[in-house]
Amino acid sequence: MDIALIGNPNTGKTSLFNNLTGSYEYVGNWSGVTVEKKVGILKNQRDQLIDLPGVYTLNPLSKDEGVVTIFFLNEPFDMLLNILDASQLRRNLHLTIQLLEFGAPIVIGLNMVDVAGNRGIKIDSRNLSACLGVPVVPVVARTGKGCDSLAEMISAEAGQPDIAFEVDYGPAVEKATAALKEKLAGRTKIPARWLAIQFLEGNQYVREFLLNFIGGSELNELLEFVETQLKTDGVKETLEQYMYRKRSEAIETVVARSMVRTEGAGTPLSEKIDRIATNKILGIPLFLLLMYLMFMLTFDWLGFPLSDALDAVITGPVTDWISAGLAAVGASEFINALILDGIVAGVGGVLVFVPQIFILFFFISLLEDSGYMARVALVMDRVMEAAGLNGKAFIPMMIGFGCNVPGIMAARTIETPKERLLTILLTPLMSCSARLPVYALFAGAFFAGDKALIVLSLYVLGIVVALILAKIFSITVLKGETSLFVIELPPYRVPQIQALWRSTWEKGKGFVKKAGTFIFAGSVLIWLLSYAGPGGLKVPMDDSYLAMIGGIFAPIFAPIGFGTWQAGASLLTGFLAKESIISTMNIIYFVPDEATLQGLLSQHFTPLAAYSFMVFILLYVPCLATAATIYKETGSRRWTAFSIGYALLIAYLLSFIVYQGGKLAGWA
Amino acid sequence: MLDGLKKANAKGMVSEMIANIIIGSAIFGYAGWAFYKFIKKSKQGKCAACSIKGSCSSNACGPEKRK
Repeated sequence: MDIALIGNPNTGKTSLFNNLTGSYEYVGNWSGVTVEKKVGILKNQRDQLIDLPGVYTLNPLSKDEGVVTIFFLNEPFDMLLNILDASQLRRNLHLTIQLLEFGAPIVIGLNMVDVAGNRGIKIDSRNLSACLGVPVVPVVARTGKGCDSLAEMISAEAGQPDIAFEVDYGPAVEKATAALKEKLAGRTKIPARWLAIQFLEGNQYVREFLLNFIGGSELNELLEFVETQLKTDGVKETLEQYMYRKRSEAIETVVARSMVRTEGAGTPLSEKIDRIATNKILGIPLFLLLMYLMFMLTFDWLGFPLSDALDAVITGPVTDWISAGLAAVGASEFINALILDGIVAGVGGVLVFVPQIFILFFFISLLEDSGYMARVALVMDRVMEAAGLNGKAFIPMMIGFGCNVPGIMAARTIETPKERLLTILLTPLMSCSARLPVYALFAGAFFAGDKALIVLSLYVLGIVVALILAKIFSITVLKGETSLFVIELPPYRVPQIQALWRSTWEKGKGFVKKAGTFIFAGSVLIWLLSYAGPGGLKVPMDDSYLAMIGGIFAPIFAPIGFGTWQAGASLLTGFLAKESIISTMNIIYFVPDEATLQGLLSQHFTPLAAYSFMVFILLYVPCLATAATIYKETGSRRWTAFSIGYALLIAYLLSFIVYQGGKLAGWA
Repeated sequence: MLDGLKKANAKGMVSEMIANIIIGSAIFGYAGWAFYKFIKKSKQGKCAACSIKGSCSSNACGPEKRK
């Protein structure tokens, strides 16, 4: 038997799936985390449970939600398992009614009865069952309570007859339904009434399905008939709104009979916190304050001393061991220089920042797992809306703080094509972890007292530039409709250490791995280019091939404060992977440790030029992997080229303003 | 005796040379391979280049498609 598990996002569907099938699955934090179709075997070893994406309605808003409608139209299944959030019964029932209209056997799992209880809501599951005409089993999916009786009920209900529950949508809709029923008679197994209701509500997938049987003009006629009928009846809403209202009225009757509000329960803690966290005035400053604290911990209080200690180990004992080993095997001068000046400097220079990256990721994971990040998306919604996007677009952007590639992938959850493309184009402006070592190095060298503030300013600059560009793009090259932002705010919770560590490691391991692979290879190549020149091997670095290549770009960067071949060469390698900017600099300015490098940098950069350099690094181009992802996601060379082109332009422009403006203001 | 020393010295030089060649080719070989792999993976973009592909549950990177 095939059972489809369906429910609103964040109703505990994933937990229930795991409890019923006994399988393990990754549990994420964002609403609608289950996008793929997952199948598990129930504990009776007989039936299959198909996990569908969380949706609020069968009328899809986004591509993700379309998966569910396509499933209903095309795939055979024997039974529906609908999971409801008892604390959000009204909203959840909209989907339930659409499922009941489909007419397949259905069992309802009433989840989060405990959460509802805390909010002073008590649901009488027997009354609910009587109203809807289907079995309702209260469960707590998180702990597994009630799951056994639910499993029993599923077995018992197999093959039960059709459901009697019907919403009265009024004579016009019912007439249209009857007409459609007649036309479809015997031609499809899918219930005609369900098809008619979905079609009238504007479900595009259902419309396409109906076109297999009925002509487009006939369908339009049917639609017009209902709309005119409603108008003559004095209905002012759109057809979709009208049907939503009718359904809401039916839900009110059900809720009135099955929901009891108990007295005495106070405001839940989550709501108390949200009064401040999502406050119109305090929300954004609070978010900035938290980010500032996060950067203080990453750069000042905790991360910096740790990185310093690691640096001491790499430049001290590790380098000593390697040189002793090289001397023992009688390594030549070339091999010696390759390993010590190339690999140790390049890879070591990047590895030094591992503690800071992990600390930052730990705090980002903490904010995600505690439920705060969902609030940030809500708080940002107001600002994002002014920029032609909505709060949902902030989620891919926040993921982009880790790595831009998954950020761009996450843009798939955005409904309208215009907003999706905008998000894809702008996510690379979010400062990913690979750019962090550059900030750490430069902020440490030039702004020792205000490291966290300088880094925060760069992160905020990335967001602000993205928002301004979103506005500009949405009124010029990318016109189109905007969508409504709906986000589920999960209750705050204390994150589990194990889950926190896993999510930190997932985010940070790529950085460590890359140091051992690409940064290693890049270091060898960069070192070789700096060791060899037209004059042969072991040339002074200023006469090397690397100096020649970097020198081509130097004049271009002169007006923005860093017209040296060294800067040119490191920015060039940065296109492949941003981390390599640091490894290249370590090799070029080869010095025993980070502190000396910072001293040396101050000879080549002024503080103003250093800030201009950091701004340029923040914005200049998406790295190779990001550019390739943009290409794959947009399917367009033009948009990929655009994403690189506009970034270069805006980076140059802003660095120019920072540097020349700063000079005018007398900061140089 | 001087002859013996010279021979030993020559032997040492040969073994040093071999060690140098082995280390050098191992480094350049690995670097070349890592570079090739990285560029290939990055160019694929999407899941191949994604830093969270191991735990990602979005449609495109699901376990079935990752195979």
